[in-house]
Amino acid sequence: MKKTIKTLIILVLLLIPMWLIFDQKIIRFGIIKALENTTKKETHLKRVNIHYFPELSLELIEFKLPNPVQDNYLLTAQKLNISLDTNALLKKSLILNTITSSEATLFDVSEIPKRIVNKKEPTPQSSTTSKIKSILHKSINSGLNIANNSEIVSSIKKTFDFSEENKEINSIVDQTSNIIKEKKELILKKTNTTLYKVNEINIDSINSIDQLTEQQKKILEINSDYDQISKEINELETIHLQSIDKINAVNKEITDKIETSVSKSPLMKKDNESESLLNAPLNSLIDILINKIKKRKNETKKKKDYEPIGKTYYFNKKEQPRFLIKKLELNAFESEHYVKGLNLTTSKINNELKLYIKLTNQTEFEKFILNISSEDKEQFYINGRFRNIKINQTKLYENDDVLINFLKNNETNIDIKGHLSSSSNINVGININQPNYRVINKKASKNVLSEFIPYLNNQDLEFFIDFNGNLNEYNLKITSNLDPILNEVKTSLSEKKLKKLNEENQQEIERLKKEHLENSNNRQEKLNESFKKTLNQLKFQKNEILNEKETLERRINQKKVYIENSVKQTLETSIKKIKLN
Amino acid sequence: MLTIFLIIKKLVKFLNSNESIENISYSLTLALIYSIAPFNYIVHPLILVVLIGFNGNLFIFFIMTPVLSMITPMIMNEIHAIGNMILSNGTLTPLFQRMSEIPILSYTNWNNTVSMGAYISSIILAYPIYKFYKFSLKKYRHIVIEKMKKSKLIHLIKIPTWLTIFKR
Repeated sequence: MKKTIKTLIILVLLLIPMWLIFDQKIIRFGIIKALENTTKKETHLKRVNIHYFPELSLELIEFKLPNPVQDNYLLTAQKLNISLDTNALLKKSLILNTITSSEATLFDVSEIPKRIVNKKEPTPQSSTTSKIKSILHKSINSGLNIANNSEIVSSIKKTFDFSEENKEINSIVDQTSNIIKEKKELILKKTNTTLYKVNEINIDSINSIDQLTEQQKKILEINSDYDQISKEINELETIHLQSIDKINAVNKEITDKIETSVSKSPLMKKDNESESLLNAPLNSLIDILINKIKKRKNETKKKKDYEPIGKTYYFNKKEQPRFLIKKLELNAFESEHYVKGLNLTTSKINNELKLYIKLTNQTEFEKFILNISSEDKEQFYINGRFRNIKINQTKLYENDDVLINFLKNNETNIDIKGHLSSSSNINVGININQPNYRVINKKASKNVLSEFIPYLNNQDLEFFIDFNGNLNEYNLKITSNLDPILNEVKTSLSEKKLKKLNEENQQEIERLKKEHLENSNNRQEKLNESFKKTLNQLKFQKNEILNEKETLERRINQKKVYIENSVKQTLETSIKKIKLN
Repeated sequence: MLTIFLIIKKLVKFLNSNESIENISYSLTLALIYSIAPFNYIVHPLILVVLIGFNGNLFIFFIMTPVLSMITPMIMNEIHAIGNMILSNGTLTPLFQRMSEIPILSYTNWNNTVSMGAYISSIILAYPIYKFYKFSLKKYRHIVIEKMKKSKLIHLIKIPTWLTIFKR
């Protein structure tokens, strides 16, 4: 027993000075090791000053805490003061009375922390990133697909068979030509006969009334012939007009066939408008993120499974928290990086948890404010907002023809509201103000996307995500104005395309009409020409007859007057003679 | 393999040496306690201090601890059951509540069923085990060693000594 006590005393006597000499190094090593195990990245801590009186406190000099999720330092501080509750430490509970610093920087990007590579652990795979990229590509693809050429289809028919109609036209033209020819010959014969009759009449040889009467009869005959010739010429005209009507009817048939074969409004491919373009991809994205978190949880659980079985009972009535930061204050309120926290713990203590983080004028955003509070440490109320997030130019979509870039935007806002608990409810609102896009054509021909994308410029984008439930069972509702915008653009674009296509169709109709009515028009033209020629010829003959006839009539009338006068004179002379006698 | 053979040889030599049976039994008992209890930064160094303080045999202790540790997973469920039975006992709750307020004691993980089971089993079984080891060693020295001395196998084991002499 004496020996044991002796050994213990010797040990204590040796350990106390050893501790006092090496305490800074041991604590520094412990802090670095613990943080590196947690973050898997190199932690920097130049020196640790330990003060035992009046209370146990640590001063971390040139401290850099890496961000486990991003390539930056979560916290860098020239000097970080931590004061600890010694009594709680003896009861296996870490209570930090205060953590303060006046020169701290949050999310410091001035240096990238080095990752600690553990050979036993598999290197993180980029499968999640590739999955996210693939989903984004698919959703953008489907979103942009509405601009695809196949959306509006023209039903125009390129080939027609008008042989029957052409045959009919030819037959009409041939028939009419024959009739006109026959009629022409007949009329010409008649005109010649009539003219012969006209020439036969010799007015000068008329000396008596009988002769005059006889000649007048002949003129009457000529009149009758003339009327008949006129009638026949009119008939000829009627025949020609009828033929023209027939040809026009056939032409109308051809035109109708062409016009009915081309639909006036091009066909619109119907897409499923009721289904949102965003819901499915965003749900998939959040599923991936949740699965990633679940996977991490499972990995931690698996690691814990190797620990010996057992159950830990807690008998402390005072509900001593395992970990608590009573007060945390980094920098002054006016500073660009400001953090203030009270009673930061997940243990159920009576005091309310409060955390306020304010970051301003950052490289990635202008302002970020986060408020977290919890009274029961079961429900954590969150209220956060990002203002003017800076999004750099990003490649949005690329295929063989085009490259679409999302241009630099400094006006994106995010609002987060809700509570985290076993059944969380988080509402996230994202607003991208006046986004702009640039389309780069890779080929000489203009892609349809280059017409479509400019419609999206300066159209504010709004997304609302409503998350309800927990990691295992959750409801996700995503709404955005992207679908109405895309539909609006789609309508505008479709109208434009429709108009263009209608014009093209009309041109095509005209071309087809011209092509298929050419034969008919030629035949009709020839028929018209030949008829015109015949008609002119016949009319000339007719006019000749008319002129001759009129001349004869005039002369006969003159002769008649002359004979009447001479008869009258003779009669008067005779009567005078009789009277004298 | 040769190292293991030499260690066993040394162990047998120790058991046959002038080292007192009480001392060896005491070291073996502490080795058993050390291997049964889940490692703790307070309890295990304390066991070492007690071992050194009571003049225990460090060689026997360090040799036997890994060997005895192999049986720990086999009896883990039984230890957990004992610990659970004690910690869930309502009549003892006020005592545990007081214990939970004692500084440093919580570092011993006594409120864990496996740790509590191991501590209680060690406290209860320490003396019987010590007695068992003592009895066994006595019997070993009186009966087994005597028989082994007459055995031809021992003669064969001793051949390497001849060989080494021959080599010289």
